[in-house]
Amino acid sequence: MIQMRDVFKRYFADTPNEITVLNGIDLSIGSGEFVAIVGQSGSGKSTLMNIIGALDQPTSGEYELGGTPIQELKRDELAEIRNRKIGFVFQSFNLIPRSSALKNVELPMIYAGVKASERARRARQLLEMMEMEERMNHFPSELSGGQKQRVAIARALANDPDILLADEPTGALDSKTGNLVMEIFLRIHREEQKTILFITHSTELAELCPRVVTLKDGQIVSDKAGTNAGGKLHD
Amino acid sequence: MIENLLLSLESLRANKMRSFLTMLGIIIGISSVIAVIAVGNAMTASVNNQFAEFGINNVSLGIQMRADESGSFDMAVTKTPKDSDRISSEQMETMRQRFPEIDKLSLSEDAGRGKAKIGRKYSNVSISGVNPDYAKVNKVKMVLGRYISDADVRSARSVIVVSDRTAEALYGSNASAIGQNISIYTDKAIKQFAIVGIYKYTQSAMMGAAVSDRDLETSGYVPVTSAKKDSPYKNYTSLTVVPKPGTELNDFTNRISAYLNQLYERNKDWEAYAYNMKSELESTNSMMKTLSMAIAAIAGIALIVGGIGVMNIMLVSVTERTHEIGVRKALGAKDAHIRLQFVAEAVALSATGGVIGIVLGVALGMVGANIVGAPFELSIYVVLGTVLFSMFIGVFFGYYPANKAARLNPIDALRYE
Ligand SMILES: Nc1ncnc2c1ncn2[C@@H]1O[C@H](COP(=O)(O)OP(=O)(O)OP(=O)(O)O)[C@@H](O)[C@H]1O
Ligand SMILES: [Mg+2]
Repeated sequence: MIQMRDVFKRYFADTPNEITVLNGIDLSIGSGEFVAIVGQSGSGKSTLMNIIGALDQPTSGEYELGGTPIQELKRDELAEIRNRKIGFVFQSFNLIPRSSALKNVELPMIYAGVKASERARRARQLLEMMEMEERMNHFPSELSGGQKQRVAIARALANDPDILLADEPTGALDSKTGNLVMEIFLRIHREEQKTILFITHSTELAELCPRVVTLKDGQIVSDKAGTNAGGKLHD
Repeated sequence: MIENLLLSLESLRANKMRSFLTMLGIIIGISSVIAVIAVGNAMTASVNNQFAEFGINNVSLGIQMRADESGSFDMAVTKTPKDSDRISSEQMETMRQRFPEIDKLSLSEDAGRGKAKIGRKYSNVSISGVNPDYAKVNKVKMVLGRYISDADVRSARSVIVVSDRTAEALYGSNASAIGQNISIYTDKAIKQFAIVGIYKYTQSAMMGAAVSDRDLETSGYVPVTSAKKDSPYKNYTSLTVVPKPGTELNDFTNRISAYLNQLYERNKDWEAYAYNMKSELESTNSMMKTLSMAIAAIAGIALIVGGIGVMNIMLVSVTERTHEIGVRKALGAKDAHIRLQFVAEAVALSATGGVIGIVLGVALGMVGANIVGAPFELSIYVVLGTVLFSMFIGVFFGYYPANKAARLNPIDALRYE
């Protein structure tokens, strides 16, 4: 599903201030894997994930997503990939403030050109799945952190993408709510066989994942199975 | 698309004060365009009405004091033309034969004014000596009986055509007035006429309802020959001719002026004139057009300023919502989606301003038309055109900010704080 070879990301390239954020990443993730990405702050986790999600481009190296070399795509083609193949979940939720929960979930489908009735039906179904049907017509400002994140997950699933990319989805939540969100991801992985990349600072959550990739200074320093994979969360 | 418009109206509502201030430029521009067009139309209509009342195809002929060598008149002496200086009936007849394109020739001779009285009932009448063509040239509308006829003129009969107002005031109704003998008390004499017809009085557009209904003075038409009976002069100082339809008016006026002046070649004190209102009408109309255009140009500048205001606020909005744009791009919005969203917002802004401007402009136009004293008229095309134009302003001035938003790099937009 995801194939990276020798990927570099540099800022201020060819200037005295040059910084190398990704320093030769080789990474291969198969379809249906659940991978936790861990590492110190500033180690390049988000940068890596943004490149995987076609939001950002590597400075050098090769990246193929589902067999498509991403570097060769035009802006609109990249938008299409983000729309159909990728679902993003962010630490700060990033819901559209003036739109209701339902409209937020519909948004990726609007960009995909899904017709209105079908859109509303699917958005409702996803929110029900997240147990958010009662808050459907509420605005983000009227929701708690955990509720916002559940709306965001529903939105990420709207176009039934192959890959879910979650950048510290539990980072802004207390540990109990964070665990609930983690359980949702585990359930989605179990029931829908989606490929999931999950950035976290919590060792406990990371070790629940079948595969844990550790970054340090833009390099992969460890890539192994989670010690508690398939285990249970304790509250 | 509709989705987008609804969404953008939403964001307008979220920033009410800011939206309103931005729209103000558009509102002022559009409302002044509408008001100027409406008032301009009303003014043109009112001027045209006044000219029409005079008769734009009429050519006035007459005599005037001859200007001296320096081109000015000797103001010290006002002379009255002798009968031999005046235009005679025979001269008119010859002129008619020389100019077969003359359709109508109207004569009118002031024969004084006075009060027509029956007991305590009265009506103010100004007596005009006229010929049959006068009614056609001046569009006198008969309601009962007949107008002054050729026979009346030939035999100088003492008959009169009075207004329905006079008939009403003196006899109570038109029907009971017909055939009555009316006495009109002028300064010098009491004149007696038999009423043969009644015409419908129409108020002149030029004078308002200044006098009370009761004291209103209306014309009483008598044969021009009977009016002349008390006058020392039997010839005329002025007349009006109307050429047949299709005659080139200015050319006709020039030819008839040349013809008449030939007759006055050897007259030291008097000369003939001929003029029509067509060129005056044309110059007034073109002047009004220029004036309207000048004001419209100023309004246009207001619109451009308004458009720049829209552009400015859209640029601010794009900057403010950079992060949101990043989120939308992460969710798969293409450049076109973002561009459409912001153009739609600019259009919603300017079109709302346009609609408010139209309402305001119509109100102003109505007030203006009222002041000018002509009916308010505004074609639906002007309104539709204005709405479309204000939408165009939105597209035109919204495109640059919208495109700026669309071209943002997804990750940079998303990371923007
Ligand atoms: N646009 C940019 N310009 C310059 N430097 C950047 C830019 N974006 C990221 N960086 C740098 O890249 C490095 C890695 O950032 P990144 O966000 O990937 O870290 P991270 O591992 O996600 O950290 P955290 O756990 O705190 O989220 C940081 O040192 C950051 O300063
Ligand atoms: Mg990060």
